[in-house]
Amino acid sequence: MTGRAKWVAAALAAVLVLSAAAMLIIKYAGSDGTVAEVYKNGDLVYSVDLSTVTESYTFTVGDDQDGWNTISVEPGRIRVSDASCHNHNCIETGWIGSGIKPIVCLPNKLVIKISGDADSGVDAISG
Amino acid sequence: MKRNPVFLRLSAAGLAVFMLICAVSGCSGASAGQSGSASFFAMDTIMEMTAYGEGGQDALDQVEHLIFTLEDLFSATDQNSEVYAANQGLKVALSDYTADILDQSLALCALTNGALDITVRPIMDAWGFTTSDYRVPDSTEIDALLPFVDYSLVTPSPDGTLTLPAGVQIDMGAVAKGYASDLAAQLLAENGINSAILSLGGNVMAVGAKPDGSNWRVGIKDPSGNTDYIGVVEVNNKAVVTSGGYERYFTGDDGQVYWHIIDPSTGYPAKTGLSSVTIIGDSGILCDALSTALFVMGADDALDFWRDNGGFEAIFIAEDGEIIITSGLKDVFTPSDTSATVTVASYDR
Repeated sequence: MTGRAKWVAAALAAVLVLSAAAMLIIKYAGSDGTVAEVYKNGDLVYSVDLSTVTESYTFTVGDDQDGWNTISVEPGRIRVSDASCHNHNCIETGWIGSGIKPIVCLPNKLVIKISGDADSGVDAISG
Repeated sequence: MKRNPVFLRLSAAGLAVFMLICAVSGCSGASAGQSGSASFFAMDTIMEMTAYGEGGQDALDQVEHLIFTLEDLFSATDQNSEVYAANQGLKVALSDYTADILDQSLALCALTNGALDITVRPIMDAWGFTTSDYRVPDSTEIDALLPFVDYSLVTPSPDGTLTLPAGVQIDMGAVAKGYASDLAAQLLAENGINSAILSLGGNVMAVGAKPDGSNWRVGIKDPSGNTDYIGVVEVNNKAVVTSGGYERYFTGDDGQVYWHIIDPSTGYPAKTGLSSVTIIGDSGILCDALSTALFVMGADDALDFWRDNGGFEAIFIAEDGEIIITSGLKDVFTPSDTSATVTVASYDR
């Protein structure tokens, strides 16, 4: 190999390693299953990466007419802490932080789910 | 430009490695890129769907529209629905969809000898399951309602109309989602979609196989709620429908748990030692209907029903945690807890 070809080979190798690293980071960093998404009437109204939360906070989605849910966020987890619905199934679901179980409030048409969780191991749940 | 063979060779090698990395890290993925998804509330539950391949999103938009059409016809609470009108004792000119679901569900009521009964609604009302104002009705109230629980009283007329006898009410709740999943799968096929996974509030319809050709992995919900799913069944082109007491229940003043799966012959919640029943088969409405009916029958009678009729497979989760599967699932069901005892039922009695 000529001296110039060695330089080209070295540069190419460096580019390949860097691009491989970049692609793997892009693929896996965003899908570690900690982004919580809040949907109201089917529309995404709020999203937060639970792994970046350092302080607890609460907020409310909806209103008296459309039904409201108060949502609590803590480092690594999220739940419905209060709601206007009659059955409070959403509150009883408790905290979620990973996995496939969403929080669903049917009366208020609210869903909270953890997105990008590639490792749940199933395509759907029957039940 | 002067050609440099070494440079060319290195470039070719570099391109090959780059493409390999692309393939491994999934940065292309043509089918995934053209998939469609839908998530919406209908039929008193949440529906989530993903369809793979060209036209997937357009096909799911059609499915969503279809499901809202069916809901408008079948809802027992929407004052503009055909079912609501029939339950008021009115003579109703049935749409093709309503005539079809009535036809199919009445056949399933007969097949299950009334373990499924689409006329159980007055009893559901008495328990408050239709309104969530739960209460324990006394036995005289239930006895007074039982004569109206009889699917054979529902007789659509040959002229395409239905008039229910006074006091009789129908409810498509135990079959509507399964029926909708059948029509959805058909609509997707008509749109050239051969890979899709639909969950109509936990009624799963696996259309075709996954885009990579492997089977869909469908989790069976853990009735205890302790884990997300109690096991996984691998299927393609199958409906997977589960009924369980955990779906809707309340605790009475007497401390007893009462759930929404009612035995039509007694008017009381079906307590047969089962926590949930999953049915796997080709037809969504059959699986939907049988998941309720076999829960009401209990494991022994349900297994006899399976032996007599076949055409489906089943998973029974008992209240004591025992898992019973029918023999056709032996190689495709895996319990989450590998130490769990799984009993395989065979056709031999």
